[in-house]
Amino acid sequence: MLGQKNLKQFFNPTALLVAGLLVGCTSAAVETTENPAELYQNGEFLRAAEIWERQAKAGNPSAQFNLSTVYQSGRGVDRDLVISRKWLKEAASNNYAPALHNFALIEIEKNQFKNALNLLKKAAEQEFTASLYTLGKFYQEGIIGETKPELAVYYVRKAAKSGLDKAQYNLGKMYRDGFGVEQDNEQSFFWFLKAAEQGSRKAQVKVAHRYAKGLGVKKDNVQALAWIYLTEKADVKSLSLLKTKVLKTLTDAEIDLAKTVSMSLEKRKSN
Amino acid sequence: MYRTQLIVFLGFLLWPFSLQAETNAEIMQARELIQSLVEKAPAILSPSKKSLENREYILQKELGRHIDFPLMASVVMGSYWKTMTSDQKSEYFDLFSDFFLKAYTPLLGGYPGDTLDLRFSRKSGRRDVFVRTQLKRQSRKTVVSDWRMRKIGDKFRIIDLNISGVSVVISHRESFHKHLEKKGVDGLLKLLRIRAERLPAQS
Repeated sequence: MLGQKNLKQFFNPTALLVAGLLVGCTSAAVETTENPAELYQNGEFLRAAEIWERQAKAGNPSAQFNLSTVYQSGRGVDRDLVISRKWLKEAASNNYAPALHNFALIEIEKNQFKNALNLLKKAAEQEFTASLYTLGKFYQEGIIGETKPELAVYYVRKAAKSGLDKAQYNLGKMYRDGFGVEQDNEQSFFWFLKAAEQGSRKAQVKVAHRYAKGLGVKKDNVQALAWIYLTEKADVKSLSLLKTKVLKTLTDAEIDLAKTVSMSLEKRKSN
Repeated sequence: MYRTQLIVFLGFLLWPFSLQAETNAEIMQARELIQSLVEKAPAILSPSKKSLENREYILQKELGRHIDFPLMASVVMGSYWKTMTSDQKSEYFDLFSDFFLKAYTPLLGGYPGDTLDLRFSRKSGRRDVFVRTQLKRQSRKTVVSDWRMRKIGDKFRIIDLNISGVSVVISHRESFHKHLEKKGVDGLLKLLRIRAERLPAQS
């Protein structure tokens, strides 16, 4: 039982302040140990969204953006495009590149091309790879006005150099077709190979064909077969004809070598 | 003579039962397919060294193997399908299947806190079976999904999905056709390409 004296001590302002600070410290500790990005990666979408919501309200642009994505896709929360747009706009007004990017895409869907272009350019100025690529693709396909091959190559190349596999694959095609650049099979192969090494299935198919043909690279059927084996593991079946053709040219030892090369390519990709 | 007539007569009497047995076997086959996917989902999605995107991709591929995308894609496009070039079809096919798998694979559950129950299954018409699942998630509305499946060859394949009674194929057909009427096939492909560039949450 708490006596009168004990009660007074219990409600002592200093004690309350200390207790409050302790509680505050504890909740701050909880806050810092719970990483919303980690929770999200673990599939704990609701808990991630709750933390992002607190951070978003405190003005954190990356939390505002992430919150907009969970409301857009309905992860951890019921899908709500109005709330999603609200947080997306907020993050974009804070010049957060991923938000500028997604906001631009919404503007394009509404045919607001000028605004979309400005938003993408703002994100690209921050060297944001996804926007560099999208901007390049849009100039390539004329989604925003006319096709502008040189500008398309400029932005796609920047994204490719940043390591984006789909940009590398696309740049390979630009060199192959001479789109915005001088046609160059070696450069084309170089970028297909870069994308293939990162796991791009389409690029792996191209690399296998290129080795078999010797186009842009020295003809090498062992390498061609190694890339064919790699794509087969991902259920790609479009190379079965090429495989039959290549197998006919190789000895058993060379086929074994191709299997070893394929395994090493796979290991390299997963490391 | 009498014996043959008796066999024919008994066969006639038992015919509805054998049909019923066949129907039940088909329902079970379709249900087992969905059940196997539902059972695989938590194992594939549970936290590991692989990124969430990678884990989800593996589950999407697993589900995708059982979906008849050519049928679904052509039904969604309707009369436009015949007018499309092979390049357009191939790109549309990639974009549509990618979008479909990203949007609807989560209905198999498998994330922490998800409860996925298999409900009743029923035959629809001569060829199709509906398998119902119910997904419960914390602080969320319950989602009831009917997986429409059709036996093609000797295997069941998913040909549509009804969410809370609404067909995904029909609702996409309606929304795509509005766009197709205004902007044509190229316009729709552009729209799907734009949507595919959207970024998810950033770590």
